[in-house]
Amino acid sequence: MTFSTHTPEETKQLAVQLASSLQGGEILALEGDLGSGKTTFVQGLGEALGVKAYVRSPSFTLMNIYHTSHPTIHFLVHLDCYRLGPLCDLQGLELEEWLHRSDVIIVIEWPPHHLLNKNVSISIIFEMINAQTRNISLPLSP
Amino acid sequence: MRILAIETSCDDTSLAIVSCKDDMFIVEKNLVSSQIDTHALYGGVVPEIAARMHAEQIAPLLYALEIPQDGSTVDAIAVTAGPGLVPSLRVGVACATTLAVAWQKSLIAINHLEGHLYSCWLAEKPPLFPCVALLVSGGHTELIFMKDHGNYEYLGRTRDDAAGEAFDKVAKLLGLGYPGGPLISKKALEGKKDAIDFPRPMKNAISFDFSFSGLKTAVAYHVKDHPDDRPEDICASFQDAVVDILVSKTLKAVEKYQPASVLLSGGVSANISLRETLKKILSDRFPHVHYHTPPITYTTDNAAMIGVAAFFHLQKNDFADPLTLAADPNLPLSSL
Repeated sequence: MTFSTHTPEETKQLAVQLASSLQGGEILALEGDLGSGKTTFVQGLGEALGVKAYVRSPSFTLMNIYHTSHPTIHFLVHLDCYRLGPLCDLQGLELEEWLHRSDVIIVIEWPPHHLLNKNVSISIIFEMINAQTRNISLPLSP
Repeated sequence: MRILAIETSCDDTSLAIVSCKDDMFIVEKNLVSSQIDTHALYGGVVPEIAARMHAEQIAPLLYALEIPQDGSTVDAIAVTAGPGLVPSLRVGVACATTLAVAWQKSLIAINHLEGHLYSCWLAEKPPLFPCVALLVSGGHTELIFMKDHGNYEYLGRTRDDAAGEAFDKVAKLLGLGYPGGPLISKKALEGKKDAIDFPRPMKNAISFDFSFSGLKTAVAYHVKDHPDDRPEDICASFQDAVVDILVSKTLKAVEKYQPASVLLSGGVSANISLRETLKKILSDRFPHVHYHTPPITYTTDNAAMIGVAAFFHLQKNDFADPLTLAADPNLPLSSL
């Protein structure tokens, strides 16, 4: 299903809706060009899960880990492979510690190809239509 | 007093020997081995490769410092313990702790951001307290109030992208390459800074926080809608927006906190437009406030600044235990 959003707030709102259907243990892959709303979407997820800190871009740090105040999902792990490139492997980041845990949601911006093939549970595609409008495709009923 | 300093938090391996005499710091040696070319080859930074390259480079750099094998010419060892990439940080921490044990020297753990703040002590005169510090780099955009050595209070930070990240991403949008900062400022020299009126997010907000994501996005759709615009004009207008936001917020902090000095540091402080604009406006509006920014060499990651920061920890007997010191990717900037 593709949704059109017209403000960063609407993009965050869409993330809030998706958050209510998350069980824990999911890996979300976010694809789309620079400025298409990926980090804004993760900020919305953070708000929905009760992350108190500002969700900042992990482009430089590669991986940011947030505590949540959700009853069953306790961590939001935010990865960004922008600087790593599409063929990277994530060895060395110790991602294993966070994979397949029911109290963790992992979100990956600029996901590497090998992850897309097998590990991702929810794929979300962002497209910048114009200055305001973003088309966001994700598995969510309207 | 001579300190061996080690910095491996990101893409550069750096070792330095810094000594202090009559309150003046002397950088006897500062060696930096950059990995930018290698990472360009792989199309990005690969944590595992970055760590392996640190491991390959650190021993030759150590030999190049020409310290006797018993370490007798060094009094203490300083190392960046975080924040940064864990695999990279670990190489420096392992080297420093090993040397500290083998040579029986004091070990000092330094926060990378603290190192950048203390790079301003490598300018001509030492800053006077209190200071308002603007720290801008690829991963950080922070306004910090420093009342004294080792006393830090956050005034504001970025809420999304760092200023240096915005430079890198805009350079990518314009197809200029990496790292983006120097490429954009070079192009900007031939462009008109008032050609495009890019937004200045949060410039007039009461908060001292920053936001650069919206500016990056504005450049993205401007490029999309105006493919024939001169890249020089886009670079000049974008750079002007970043400088305007950074300088305005810093001035606002100066007004409120009445510091004796303003410090500008971090990789983005190599930007000439930022250095000069802040200097000019400060001397016009706050002529009594001293302005300090490190020589360009010490704006990007380097071990000399880690060595300088270590002196002030040493004076307070703030030592790390070589048997337990671990790299911490999220190490907070905390007061001593």
